[in-house]
Parts: sequence; structure tokens; C-alpha cells
Amino acid sequence: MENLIFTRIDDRLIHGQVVAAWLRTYSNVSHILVIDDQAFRDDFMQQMFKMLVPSEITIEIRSVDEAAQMMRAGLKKPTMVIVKAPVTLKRLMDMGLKFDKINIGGMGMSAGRKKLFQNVSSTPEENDIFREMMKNGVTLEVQIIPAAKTVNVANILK
Amino acid sequence: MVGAVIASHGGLADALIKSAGMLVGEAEQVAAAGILPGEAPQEFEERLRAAIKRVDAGDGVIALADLYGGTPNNILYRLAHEETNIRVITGANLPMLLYLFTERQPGTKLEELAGALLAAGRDGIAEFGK
Repeated sequence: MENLIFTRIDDRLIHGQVVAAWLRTYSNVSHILVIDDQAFRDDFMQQMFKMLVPSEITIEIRSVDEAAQMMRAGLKKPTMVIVKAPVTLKRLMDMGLKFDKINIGGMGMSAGRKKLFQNVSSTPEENDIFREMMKNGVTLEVQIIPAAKTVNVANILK
Repeated sequence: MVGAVIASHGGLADALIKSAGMLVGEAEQVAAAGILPGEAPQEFEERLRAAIKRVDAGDGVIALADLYGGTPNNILYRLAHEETNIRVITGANLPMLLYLFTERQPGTKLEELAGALLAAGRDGIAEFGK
């Protein structure tokens, strides 16, 4: 997808230093699109996220449906997309949107999840989503920050 | 008295409290909450809320987070938005904790304390002897 520079799954969405590191690596990114139905309704979160990114980067939070529309119409600026969980990307893919590569930065341990690799824990359903994505040609990589080694999910999940 | 919560990544909060206690004696109404490696933010939030409740005696709570923009800070900021009597300071360091332990009394106001802790934290960063 044109102007889609980097797509990341991180259940903490934006946490200061991590996003800053990625913005330094993908220095052409000028816009962050957070896609999350809950966060979208939260004006306060929107305000807070603005404080967490460098002032020259624009940021918006969209619901899944709105984001799908926007992405179909075409992204206007080099964009980093951030979602909390695989299911959001699956919903977008089910609506016809294509992702070539997805970065998995953090999925915390919570009810139903088992440790998959390092700091990534997932439910059986999420593992199925990963499998489906890989079957559709998406490259899935675990990498918290650019300096960390990349691990391809194909090597951890059968 | 104003309650205090120290929030961090991993054991830093706990260690700061222990080290301050070593130097000036243990303090009351102080709680630590450290997000564990791989812990989901929602789970950490529950623990953070519980810590705040434990130290809140009705005079407000000062929350010291380790890092601007980090998850402990961000969750605290959101909680402070929901409750009116929580102030959030980032960059928690040992000088800040020592000031908290030695200067916070029953009767110290939350606003004064917030300002003083910022100063104490900053003043503690120097090149010794220069």
C-alpha cells in the first residue's frame, strides 16, 4: 500500500521511547495512524498521544471502519500504522486491505494468552490469525526496537 | 498525609523506595508498582490502581513515574485525568525520593510537594565538585 511505511502491533500503542526509535529508523514517516475502536472514542487519549510524539509528526486515532475507508482512498503522507492486537489487522485484511510486512512489538501476557516468543504472548485465535496472515503472504516479524534482532514468526509458529 | 506511588518499568520503583529507606528510614503511605516484562498494560493498571488506593488517605496522591512517555507514566496520566487529586511527576530518581521521605508531612499540600519534588529531582543531577 502506498505511503504505508511501517505497520506495528503493540498493546501499549504509543510509549515514548519505542516509537521515537522507530521514527528515527523510518525517518520519512511524517504521520502516525493509530487504529483502535476503543481509543478512537477517547479524546483524552488523542491528546495524550500528541504529547508522546515529536511535534513535527502528525497523529490521529481512527476506528477500524474509518481507517479502512481512509486506507482504501489512499494514505496521503508516509505513515506508520499502530494497532493493539492482531485482530484489528485481520479485520482490515478481511475488508480487502493488504499488508506486506507486519512488525510485532509487544503483546503482553493476559488471560488466555500463552508466551509465544520473548515479550510476545498470544491466544490460540491470535496464532491462527498469524498463520492465516502468513498463508496470505504477509511477513510477520517480532522486533521491539530497531536495534533488536528480527525474528520471523514463520520460524516460531508452525 | 499526601500518599505516594512510585511507578516504573521492572523493579526500579521498589529499589528506589528500599534505597531511600536505607538512607533516611522507611516512610508511610508509599507504594511501588513496577510493570513486569511481558505484562499486559491492563493488568498493570489494576495493580497501579490498587497501589493508589492503598496510599490515598484523602489528601491526594503524588505519583512518581520513571520515564516520560513510558507505560507507567501514561497510565498514571490517564488515571490522574479521571481523579482530580493525583499529580504525576516523571524522571523519578533517588534525590526525589529522599526529598519525599524527609519533607512530606501531614499538612504538606499536594501542589507544593509536586513543585518541590521536580526541583529536588533536577537539583540532584550535577557533576560533583564542579
